[in-house]
Amino acid sequence: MFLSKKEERILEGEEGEAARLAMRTIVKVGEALGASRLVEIKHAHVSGVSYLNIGDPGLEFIEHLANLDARIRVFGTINPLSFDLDSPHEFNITAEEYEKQLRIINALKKMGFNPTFTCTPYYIRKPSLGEHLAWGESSAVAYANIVYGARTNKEGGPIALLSAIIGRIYYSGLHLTENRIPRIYFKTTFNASNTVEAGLLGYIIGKLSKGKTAYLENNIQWKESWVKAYAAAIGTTSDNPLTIIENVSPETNLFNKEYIEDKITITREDLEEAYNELADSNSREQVVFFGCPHLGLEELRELVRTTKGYDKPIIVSTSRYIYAKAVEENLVKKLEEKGIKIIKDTCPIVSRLFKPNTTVNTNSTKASFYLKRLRKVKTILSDY
Amino acid sequence: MKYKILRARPILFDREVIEGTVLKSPTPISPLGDIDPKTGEIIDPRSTIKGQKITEKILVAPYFRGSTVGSYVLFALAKYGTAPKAIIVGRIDPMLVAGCVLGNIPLLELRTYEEIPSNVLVILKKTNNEVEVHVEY
Repeated sequence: MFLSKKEERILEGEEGEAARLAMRTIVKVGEALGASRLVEIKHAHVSGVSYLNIGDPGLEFIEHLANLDARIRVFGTINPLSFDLDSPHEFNITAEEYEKQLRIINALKKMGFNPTFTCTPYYIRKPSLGEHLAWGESSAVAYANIVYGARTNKEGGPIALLSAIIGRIYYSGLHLTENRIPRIYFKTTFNASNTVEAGLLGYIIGKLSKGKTAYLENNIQWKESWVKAYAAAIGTTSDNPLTIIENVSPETNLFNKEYIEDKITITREDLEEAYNELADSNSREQVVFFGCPHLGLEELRELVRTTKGYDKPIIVSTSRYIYAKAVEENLVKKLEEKGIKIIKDTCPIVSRLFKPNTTVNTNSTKASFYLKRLRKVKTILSDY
Repeated sequence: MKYKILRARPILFDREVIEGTVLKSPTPISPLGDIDPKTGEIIDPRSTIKGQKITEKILVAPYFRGSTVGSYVLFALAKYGTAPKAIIVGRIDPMLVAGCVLGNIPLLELRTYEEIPSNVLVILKKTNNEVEVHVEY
């Protein structure tokens, strides 16, 4: 791999042991992937922050880096935790798990990461067209690529962390324009008209595009929450989460019919099949959950406008960044008056908020996919 | 004693020679969930090598799979002194390469990994651009 003089110096340890280790890892992985060089990034977002997910090995490695005096060189944000920092007792964790989660947070803060605890880093720093990022968290990676035309592959937590320390990532995959050109063309026989349908569409297209960049012809009146649902869902079924979506993506000019290898039409039957794969429609809901990915301000406003009283508990999750803005707008109080509980810093997938065998009604295809697998929770998919 | 020589692609290999006994997993390994880093034991209940230790072995597998947290598990192996002497896989992936850098574990890619039987002695020898895998038979 070609390295600049500065990159060589980092690799030789002139900028400290943590930077050396980070550079060596990024270079070796890049070489394995066939990358010719590195590219400077503007923002790293690290997944794998919940102690329940990364355990002692993750804790020890992150502390190891912090003890080596690692410092990040770019804007850095981090994924959700295993509990809400302001109400940890509601999340069914032991004293030891609590203490270890705090150690992970402190080590990341010491390195310079912003304590964002969210899967929606694009609300905190808006990506711009063509800029390079190193992001973990598949839903955010998809959103950055689809909506902003920013360039990031779906990086694992460790790689995103190490790339923050050197401010660079290998130049491969979606960083290259040629890999962003759509190869599979999709259209639908229906117009998705709610969050669930948008999510299921992403789930199906992720499966059928087989790692290639997709193009979606459509007449959908996309709402922000639908695009988020689509992005989160495609992240569960594909390693390449980029779809160039008409009326959404800034890179429709990359479409060139000569590059299209396959054309696929998606029908309502496909949607139903995907629905049946994910949802446990025979179960009766016990709790309603919105907020996978974490809700934005506009979504919270809409909830205030549209929600009436329900006979089931409703829980929504967001980031502490958006929560603070919602408090300013008096949204939190209004939601609480309607019996809606807001949690922040975490979500049901990375925490033990829901006990196994609970039946949850959610509008998120991604939440349905992972709650089932990771938390043994049953789900019903509906917009409620 | 006769030896067959296979030629592997060195992904991480800083030494001249490594010698060790093979532990072969017929199925892909997810470090998170399949390996206990504290003991070095394979804990995947469905694995045919469940209960065996990878420590100080030449670990051979078709490929690695699973969560990227697996990189941290490979780091932890080195920290607890339970790491294998080297890993040989049919094909590499980013999680495995990152984990082997962090855990300082030599790593080879060998498409014909299946030709290495389990429990035999192998010698890994560095040449110009490759690593020779001398398999005892």
